[in-house]
Amino acid sequence: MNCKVRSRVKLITLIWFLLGISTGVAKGQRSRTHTVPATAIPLHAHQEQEAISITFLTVPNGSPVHSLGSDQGVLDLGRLSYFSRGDVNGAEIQDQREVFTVSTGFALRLGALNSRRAGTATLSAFLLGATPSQIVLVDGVRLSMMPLIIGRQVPYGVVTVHVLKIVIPTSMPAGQLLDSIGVMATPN
Amino acid sequence: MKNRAVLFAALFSGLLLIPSLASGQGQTSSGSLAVTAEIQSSISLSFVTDPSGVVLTGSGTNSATLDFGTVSRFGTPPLNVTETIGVISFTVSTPFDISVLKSNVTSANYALTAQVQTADGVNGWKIDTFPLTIFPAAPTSLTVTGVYGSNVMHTLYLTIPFSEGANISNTINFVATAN
Repeated sequence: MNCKVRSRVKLITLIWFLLGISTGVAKGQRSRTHTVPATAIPLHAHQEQEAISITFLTVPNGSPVHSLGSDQGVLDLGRLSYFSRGDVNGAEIQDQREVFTVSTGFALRLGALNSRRAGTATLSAFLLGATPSQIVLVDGVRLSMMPLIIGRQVPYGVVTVHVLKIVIPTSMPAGQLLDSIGVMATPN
Repeated sequence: MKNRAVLFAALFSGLLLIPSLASGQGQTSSGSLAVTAEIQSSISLSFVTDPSGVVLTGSGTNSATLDFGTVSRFGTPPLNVTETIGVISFTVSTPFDISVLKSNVTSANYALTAQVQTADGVNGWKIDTFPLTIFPAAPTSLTVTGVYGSNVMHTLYLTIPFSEGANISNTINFVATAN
């Protein structure tokens, strides 16, 4: 009987021991809660804790993208009008009866160039502000202020090309157009 | 004893899974792309064949050709060409349409002018009721209240003296200006 009790105690102790190790390991993989000094973390562990940077890039024959550092960019479509034809500043214009569509390509990269980070991320896009008179699409997905998936298996460190389309009504007054698109990368 | 071993194995595997599940909960990153453009106001003019007029070559564009065909004082005029005979000349006429579209402009209507481009001291050129001036004189005003988005019919009149014996060719330049 004593032997049986001792054996159970041993088992429970072992379980708690393993649970402690597991929790510790799990916490160590979360950047917000780890308390280990940075110098004590091996390089490979440190890389896993880094937030994924998002870099916006210009594509050949596309409108210029000016990078404002990590995670921010400005895509300049230049001067546009309904009766422009062909490519204008890297943007193609197609007119319909009441609207015209401006389309151009842009690229983005998750993480550093040729990142060794394994796996992929799901890419979502959304509008940072309401655009009541225009329709904004990325890769055919009509954006709203709710994030919508535009890519499901986007690898890290690889440049991916995307197509931006903005549908502008002819009734919209002339002037400056400014749309802000948020992009979100969630590791798979 | 065997059951306990299985239970232990299951617990152990489950515990080993915990860290891997926790590490799967990755950190979401976000970025923003500002898109800028300057939308310019614009209007466009195009010539369109009128159902009652001669067929325009280049109909639907802003550069069209209107060919009256072969006309004479005594002959039958071509299809959709009207001919009136005067004392010293005869006049041929045909309707054609002009369509002016606007985009991103708060203009209620447009003004339209026309002007013959090459000097012609023999023949007379008129659109609707307005004799056309010849470059470099100021263009002739055809309307100051043109309606956007519709095919507006105009009629070109060409008055040819009986003394004229050659081919007639000229260019009329139309300018629409948003009001």
